[in-house]
Amino acid sequence: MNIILFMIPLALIFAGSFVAAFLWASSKGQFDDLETPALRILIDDKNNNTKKNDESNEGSKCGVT
Amino acid sequence: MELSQSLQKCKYCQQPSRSESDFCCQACELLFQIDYQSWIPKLNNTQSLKQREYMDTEEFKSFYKNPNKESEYTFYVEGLQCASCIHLLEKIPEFRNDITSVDVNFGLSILKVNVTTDFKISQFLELLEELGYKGAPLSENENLADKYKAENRTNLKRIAVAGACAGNIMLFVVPVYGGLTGPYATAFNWISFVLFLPILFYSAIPFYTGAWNSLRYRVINVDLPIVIALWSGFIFSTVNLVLGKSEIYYDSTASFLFLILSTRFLVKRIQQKTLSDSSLMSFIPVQNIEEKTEHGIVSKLSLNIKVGDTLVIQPNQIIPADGTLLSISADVDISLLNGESLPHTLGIGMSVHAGTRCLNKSFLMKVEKVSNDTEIGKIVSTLENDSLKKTPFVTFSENIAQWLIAIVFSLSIIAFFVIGAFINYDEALNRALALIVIACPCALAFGTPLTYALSLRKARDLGILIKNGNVFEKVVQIKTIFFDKTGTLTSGQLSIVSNFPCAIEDEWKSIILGLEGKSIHPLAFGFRRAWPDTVPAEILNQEEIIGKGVRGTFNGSEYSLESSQSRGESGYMCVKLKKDTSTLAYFYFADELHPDTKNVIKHLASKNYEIGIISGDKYSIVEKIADDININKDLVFAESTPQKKLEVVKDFPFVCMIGDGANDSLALNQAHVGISVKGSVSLSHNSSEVCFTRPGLQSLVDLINISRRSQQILKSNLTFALFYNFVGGTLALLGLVNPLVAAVLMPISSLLIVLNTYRGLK
Repeated sequence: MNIILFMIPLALIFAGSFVAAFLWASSKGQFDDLETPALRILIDDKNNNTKKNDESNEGSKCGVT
Repeated sequence: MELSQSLQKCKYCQQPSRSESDFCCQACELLFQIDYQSWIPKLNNTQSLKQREYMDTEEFKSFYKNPNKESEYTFYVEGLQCASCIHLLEKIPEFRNDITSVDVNFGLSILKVNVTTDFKISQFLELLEELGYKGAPLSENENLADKYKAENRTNLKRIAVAGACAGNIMLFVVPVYGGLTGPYATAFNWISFVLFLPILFYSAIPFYTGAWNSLRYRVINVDLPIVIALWSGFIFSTVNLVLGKSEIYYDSTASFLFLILSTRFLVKRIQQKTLSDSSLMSFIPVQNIEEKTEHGIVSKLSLNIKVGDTLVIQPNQIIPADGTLLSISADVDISLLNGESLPHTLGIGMSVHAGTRCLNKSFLMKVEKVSNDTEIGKIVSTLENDSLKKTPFVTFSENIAQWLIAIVFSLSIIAFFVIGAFINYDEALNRALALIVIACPCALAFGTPLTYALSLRKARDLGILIKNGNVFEKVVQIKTIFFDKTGTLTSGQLSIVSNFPCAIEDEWKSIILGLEGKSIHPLAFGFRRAWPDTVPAEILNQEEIIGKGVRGTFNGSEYSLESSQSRGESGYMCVKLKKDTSTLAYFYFADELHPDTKNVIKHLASKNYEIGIISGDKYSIVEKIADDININKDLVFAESTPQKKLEVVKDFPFVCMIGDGANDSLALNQAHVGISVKGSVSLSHNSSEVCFTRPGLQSLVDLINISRRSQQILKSNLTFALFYNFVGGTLALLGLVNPLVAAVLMPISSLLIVLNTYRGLK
């Protein structure tokens, strides 16, 4: 059972560091806007030169052709 | 009960689109059709660039500049629909050298733009327009994203701390419930105690301020019982911990606090979004006005206009001050101020009012009153006073909360003495405190905000912006609905209702369109809408007949388009087309009903709502509309001033007012529920609690349906909570509640409420 004396502080330190990481991230503004980044990645701009090639845009245009 | 009619899907992004075309926005159309990387906006509309030139003055720029960062501006953009919009807008820096970065906030419809020193606001707005959006710069006060940023971050941190601590407390309490005893159990309980402290002293701070306000203003709110439950739970558990007893409630108390914090945050986020959409810009925009002085014409910002200035008002400009007309005549659209649909022709010496719009030609005016002294300024200040005086609405759940608190506390005090007398005071204290902890109004504290949040979101998806969750409760109480006419029942645009002779030759059509040219007179728009396919004829010597109409030469004969005096009784505005001296045709114009108005009114009437009209327009016009849609004559009020509208609304209990103009704002503010419709002036947005962003009145039916459903869910949640409190309270008084029972009962009850709410609003 002595292992518990080691495990519990370790668990608490883990928990504490995750909370600290979250607090830091939210101070940096990572949670200010949750909607836009999710939409931002939807359209891939690398392949737009081969725009007529439907394969490259399949994800965003599915169901149209 | 189907809440929404099915919306058409955008061809590109597959999102339901509100517009009639195949695409939800121009960005999608561009991305779908052409290789947009080679597409560069032309910015060829020099006329509107010129009109916006004033935006590039240092004075204007510094007004809108981000105070903390010189090179940053914030813009509000109307028309963001989907991922394509974000994509297109954030690509702007690639083809513009004066812009270094564009950052879109989709939820708030805000752009943050980082620029170099050559940046011109006018060009940027022009660019946005070309891309299919409407933009407006936001000053520091109007920028809600930054305003709420700090608050949102703090709230999120409080939730994170509460969540982490509550989770860990639960981990440490499991072995204790499992039967662990001895020094380890004591150690685990002390760890729980330590983990509880951040919740008590950091996460719960908003509840303390709420409870303190509740005490200070003597209105009981839900925060007060939460604080009492929190602290009695804490003290009770700590005392037992010190005494070595097993009655410890840290886990239940911590988890319920975490739940309440989270649901409140959810509601706040949704409400902030709604606010940012509806509180856009002040009533009279900051604009450039030309002033005529001894040294010629100089331009100045509308903020700096003084009494005695002589101003040159350009077509389509919003008049910035009250004054008298110095030109021979002027055509003015006063529908914003008093709801009259037909344009007014004013003569020299007559007064012009701030907030009205100049139509087809520029005129001179002498300023007599500015800002708060103007007619519109007076409405604004009355509005501010009225909203301070308005009694706050006590919601059903607040009412219940008050009763619950009173009952629980008197019960626990009685129980303490009764049990104390019969058993012992030690046991009595245990049971009384257990009662307070378990009977804490959980359903009220988070079932209500959760229901509101989900309903608000649902309403938002249907194009209804709501500022406050308690609107749903008020909507259900509505008995009478008053509509404003112009822009609410009708489209606010003039269209041809009949003409004489019945068949109009194509040649005449093209001559008329040619005569109207680029005019922004409402009639010109009416003609253009009526014959969208006709090509305007080339008219020579086109000129304006002051106060009457336009004339010009075509194929050697002189044509003119003049207003005819047979308006009045019929409620129509009449225009005649003349060739030399003979009249060729008459056209009758009226402000037509929205296509869905009739159905909506019929539907509402069948649900036993009293329906009426309050309008600033002429009797004849309003009565005709009332006839068309079968409205009871007793509830039709025409030629009403803003004050009159207010009086009418005051006379009816539980009245809903729907309007769009500044003239409605007093009534909107007074009404039990005030609703402003699409295209309205921001003043009416500010004074109403609900705003419809989709044209037409179908949204009203949607709103009523959503409100009914949210009230049903609220009531079922409350019934359940009362039942749970009754059972839990009885068990606590009988001494059957121990921490394990509480740890099982409280989350289960919360979960049931969450499930019930989600199920009901799916």
